[in-house]
Amino acid sequence: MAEQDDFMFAEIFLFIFLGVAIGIFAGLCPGIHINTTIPLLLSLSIFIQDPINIAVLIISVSVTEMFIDQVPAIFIGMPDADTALCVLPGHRLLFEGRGYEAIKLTVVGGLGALLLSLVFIAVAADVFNFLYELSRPYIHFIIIGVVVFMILSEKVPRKIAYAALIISLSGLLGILTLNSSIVRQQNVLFPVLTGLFGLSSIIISFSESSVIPEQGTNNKLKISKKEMLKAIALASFAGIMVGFLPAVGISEAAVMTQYLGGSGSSRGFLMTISGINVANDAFSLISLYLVGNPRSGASVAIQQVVGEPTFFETVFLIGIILFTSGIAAVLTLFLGKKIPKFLARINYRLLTSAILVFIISLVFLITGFYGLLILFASTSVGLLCAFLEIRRSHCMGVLLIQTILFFTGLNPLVISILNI
Amino acid sequence: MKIKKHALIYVCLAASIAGLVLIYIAAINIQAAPVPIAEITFDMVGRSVKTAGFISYRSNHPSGHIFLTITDGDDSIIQVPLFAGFVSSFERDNRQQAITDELRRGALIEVEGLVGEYRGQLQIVPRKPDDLKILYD
Repeated sequence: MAEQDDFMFAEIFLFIFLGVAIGIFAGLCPGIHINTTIPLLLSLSIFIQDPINIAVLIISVSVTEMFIDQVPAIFIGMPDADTALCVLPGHRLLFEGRGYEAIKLTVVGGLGALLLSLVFIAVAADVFNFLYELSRPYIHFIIIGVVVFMILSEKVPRKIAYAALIISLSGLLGILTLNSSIVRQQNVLFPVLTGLFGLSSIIISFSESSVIPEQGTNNKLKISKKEMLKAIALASFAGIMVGFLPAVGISEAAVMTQYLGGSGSSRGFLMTISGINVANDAFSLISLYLVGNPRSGASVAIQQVVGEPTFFETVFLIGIILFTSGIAAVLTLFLGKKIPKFLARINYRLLTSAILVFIISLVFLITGFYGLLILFASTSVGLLCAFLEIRRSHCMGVLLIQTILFFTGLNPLVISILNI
Repeated sequence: MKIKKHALIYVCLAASIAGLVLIYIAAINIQAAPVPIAEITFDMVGRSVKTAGFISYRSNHPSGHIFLTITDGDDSIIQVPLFAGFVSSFERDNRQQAITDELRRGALIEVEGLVGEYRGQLQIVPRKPDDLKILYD
């Protein structure tokens, strides 16, 4: 019996470490999202007898990828939908010689929000179903409010007009790309977000900086405890909100917390985005037990193999989330320390040229000629936003406008008018 | 320097608009490929297709959504979710509030939309009123 238990534990650890290895690879490869990895993991399920081991594998990959994803987003400006807004504050810190601090902030934010969100979930488990039903009819009003607030927060009339222009252009880009089939829908956000946030930042840093400054040895976080706690609390709350507000993603929630909650400095913002990612992942998995409704690609996959988990299975899976988060955090910090030092040693212009070629080639390989067209348009909008000297988060209009149209029921009308 | 920055802004604005126009032209010119239900596979998720089939199941959601299952008459089936926004646009476009009543079991419909996957099942999501045609009921 004891031998059987030992074997079972060894098996679980094997799947955790396998998941961590896959998560590192997928996290470091730009353009690979957890939802891209899941079909591959599910196809492995024919070789894995116990469904709970598949769930362990999926969770380990998902959690590790979420932490590691921050590394390419911050250091080479290649985001996915969940890390798009990390690019700018991360780059800023990298060019201040504090690249490691940027990574450390995302790790602290992620771990802090994970622990706090578990407390939130334990305390408020009973009200999630109620809140889900209550919020659903009003979600578009909340998002419209956020968009109006985003525009007005520029304060100066000239900049307010610029913000409205960027939200309109990125919104139109979202409508055209998310409703047409010029590029496969599961890949379309890659050129869109890489252009708006990644490529445009790289082009600007290419023209402004010739080297990545030497990275400092002082690893202390330059953020007050109060701001840190605020960022973690906002992230935990927003992460759970993303879990049950339909069609609201990580980046939309980050924008909402930035404007409505005031996530403060760029350091606080980095912590918030990372925290929302992790808290949302935890809630999405637990929501299978709480509301019987999967709220992420990973939880859909787990539901397929395990069905609705029991209370004890849920507690076990939470344990896996916590354990894997610890490992992923250490690995992210390790990579965060090594990569900026490596980047600082090489010719930055050469590196950015290579990254530009790599991004363009990858977009072409994944999304074809039309993907390049989308990349051209989205990079132009991202650059325009930077040159107008307004907040880059206005480019999130690409998702916010589409979400508003969907929830107001106006999407079919708009598509009919555009005839796409 | 200021002139240079203004020039960059104009160039980026022009490039943004040109890019959007080109995407629009591409979007309106890409036609959905006609595919029989039996040939719609998971590899086609994210692509736009057009197919026809008989309604084998219909359920109405309290929020106004209608969920259809269509079949080719053999074993192949595919889900067709009509979301509330689409349903009201479809009725408005056909100037007939009861047109969705014609979407009953046995009716032959043609549907165009993006192939998607929901809870392990394939679906076609029509996006605009023209994407759904009742061939006969």
